[in-house]
Amino acid sequence: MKILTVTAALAATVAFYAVSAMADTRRDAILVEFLSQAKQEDPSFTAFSAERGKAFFHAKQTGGKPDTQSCTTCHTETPQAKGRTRAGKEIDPIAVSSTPTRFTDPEEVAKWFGRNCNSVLGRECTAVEKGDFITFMTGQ
Amino acid sequence: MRYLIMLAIMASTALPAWADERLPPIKNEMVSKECGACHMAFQPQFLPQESWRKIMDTLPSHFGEDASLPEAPRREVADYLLTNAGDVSQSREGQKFAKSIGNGPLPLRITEVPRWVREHREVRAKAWSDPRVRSKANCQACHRGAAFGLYDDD
Repeated sequence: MKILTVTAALAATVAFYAVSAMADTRRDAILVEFLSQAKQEDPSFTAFSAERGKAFFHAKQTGGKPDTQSCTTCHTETPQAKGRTRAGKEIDPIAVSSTPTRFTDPEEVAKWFGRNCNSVLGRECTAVEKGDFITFMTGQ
Repeated sequence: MRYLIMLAIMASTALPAWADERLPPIKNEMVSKECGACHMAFQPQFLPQESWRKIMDTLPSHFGEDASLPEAPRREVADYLLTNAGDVSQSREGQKFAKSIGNGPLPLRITEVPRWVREHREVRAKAWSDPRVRSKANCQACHRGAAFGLYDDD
């Protein structure tokens, strides 16, 4: 009986790590793609920065729509906290530690950067901005 | 047998009242997911076809936000909304919503439909600004079963 319990616990642990490792692999692939784009935009570019991502996340912008001046308008100042859309709906935390599936689906990533960069900044985000953002959130 | 017939009669007479302020829940996963990402996925019966057409044609500027979708999912969502819009729906509540617009201006928000306005006239301003409500788009704050099409609980 005891062996069974231990085996089950072990299996659950392995499964948990396997799932998060898979998510990590998919997130890494997305970052690699942004890195190659960033290098195309600027051949001297070397690496994404969590610090720049943090500043970008908290920055107040003026080029976008008046109701959404910052990422934090909906995601709050705390990446580990639940956010709220302007329509009152809860948003899962943007931090990867709180929502491990964040930044693992390239289509979702493209959709949300596409929409939110336009809403907040009034333009597309650069590959550097997107890579910095994901790098920051991956460590949160 | 007689018992069964009795039951059937009871059920059929009970149905109209029971069906009031009840809308069919959304049965398309793409609609539930995409519309439901930012707000409750509102039942399409609340607005007429013309409103949905305009909303789905202007997603990049959606009530102050960019809600763009790639063309394939946009089309799937639009098809579902147009097929189930109030003015073409079998839903009685949906028909009432559509009828209340009459020849008036085309609503782009459900909260602009005269029947919606009438149904909410007794709600005080204080309730709308309650932090648990925040937005008139937040149906579920008061109608707990809203996502399932149940609005009878007021």
